[in-house]
Amino acid sequence: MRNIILFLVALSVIASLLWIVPALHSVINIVIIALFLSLILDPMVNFLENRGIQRLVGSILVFALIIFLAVAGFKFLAPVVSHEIKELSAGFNSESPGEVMDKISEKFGDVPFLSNQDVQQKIKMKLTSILENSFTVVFDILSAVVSMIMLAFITFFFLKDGRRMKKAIISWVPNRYFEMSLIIIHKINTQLGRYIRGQLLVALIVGSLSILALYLLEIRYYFFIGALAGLANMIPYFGPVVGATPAIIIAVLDTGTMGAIAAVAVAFATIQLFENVFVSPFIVSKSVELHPLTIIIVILIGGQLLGLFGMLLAVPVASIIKVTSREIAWGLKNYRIF
Amino acid sequence: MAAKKPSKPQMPFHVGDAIWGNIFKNENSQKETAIALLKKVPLFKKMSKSQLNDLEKIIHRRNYKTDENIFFEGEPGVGMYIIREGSVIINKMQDNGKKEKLAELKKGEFFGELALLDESPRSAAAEATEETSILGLFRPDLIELMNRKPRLGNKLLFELAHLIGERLKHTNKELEEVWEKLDEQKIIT
Repeated sequence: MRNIILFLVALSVIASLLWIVPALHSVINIVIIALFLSLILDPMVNFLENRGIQRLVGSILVFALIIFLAVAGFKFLAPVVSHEIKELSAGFNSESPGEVMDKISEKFGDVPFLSNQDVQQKIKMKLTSILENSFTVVFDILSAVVSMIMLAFITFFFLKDGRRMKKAIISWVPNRYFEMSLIIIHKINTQLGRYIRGQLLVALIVGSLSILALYLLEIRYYFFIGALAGLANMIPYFGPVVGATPAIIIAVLDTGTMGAIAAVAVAFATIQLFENVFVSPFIVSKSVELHPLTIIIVILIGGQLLGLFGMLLAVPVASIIKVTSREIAWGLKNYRIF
Repeated sequence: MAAKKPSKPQMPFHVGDAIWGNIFKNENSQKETAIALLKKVPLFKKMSKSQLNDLEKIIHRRNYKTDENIFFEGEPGVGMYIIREGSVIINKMQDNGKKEKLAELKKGEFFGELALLDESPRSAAAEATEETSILGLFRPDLIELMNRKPRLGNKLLFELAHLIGERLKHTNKELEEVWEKLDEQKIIT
């Protein structure tokens, strides 16, 4: 009888979760992003606490710094970005996608799997749907602003009270699993924190170097392409190619010379070499390393599910799963739970 | 004659006030009891009030039933425990499968402090012999505290080193006595 009741309770919990989770997916997303952000910012608050500043004050200071950097960045980058957007839209207006494809075909012959008409049709369909949805865009912007404010609030409280929250959650764990949970949470937290911070730092370095290199090579949209290269660098193996391709295409369209293509390729190869020899070995944690075959498979799965964004998230998500499952398995074995 | 002080108007009773008042009162008294208990532990006796306050924030309160295991022999050590109420026995499993009682600890006593230093397996098990309430200080929280408050971390590690040094001296002394006894027996035989 007891087992039947337990089974029914478990079933109703699973059913309610299945109903609640999709309904609350945007809130859950915000909480997850806030958790990641607090994981990234936590060492900064700890550093201030280490210097004798109270945690509340430290959290406010870190937040003030982030807001200052965002505002300053916006102020300095807005002219560059708006200039690039204007140029980009002018480029689209002056040359139809068909003409761009013609130019590429002219220089390199036909691109396999892509016909001129395909590209034109796809872009037309996309533009029509954007115009149709222009009303919803306004609401989307409003909800994005609300989400940003919520994200800031939740991140702030995770930063300030994260330890107390963790302690409160652990206090609910039964005695038998208490020590194991404590050590597992600590290990996952430390390894993932180090990994995520490392990845972001590498992306920032590669992005900055790419922007600088493209600026020096006088490639148009250097800021966008450089930033994209930094982000794409988080995708192992494919990332550098994804990052370099737009720069090479722009170089072809602008100059059409092999020299410009070679210069961009050499710049990206040098940045990759620098990253692999001098940056990653010192920053990215080895404990989260995945087998190359696993990396390729998860990137392909990520690409299939969510496109480029999925490819970007694939390795971090796989690393999170790897670390979490490894530590849970360690705990279950060493604490003789099974 | 001094004018009679007007009495304060009687406020209607609020259930909410009583609930919140009791919650905070309970929390504060728990905190004070924990700090008073920490102060009695040799490891923390040189800590200032604010340092004890910081330590109290990372301490976990756990309750165990009679005969419930706090930890088992061979499990990775995570931290130390201080008995707030009740009693705990430390026992070790013998080759014949029987438990050998090594010590019985009462209120205010502590155990498992070596696990603050590393993850090596527990050399014995700890079991509550009655309804027991304990405070736990654990390595992950201590490492994090050391990063945030290195002065407190250094002081605590120094006290831990001192405690271990004292124990080593005591063990050496006992070993010497055993050797002497063995020597005497050799002479006699």
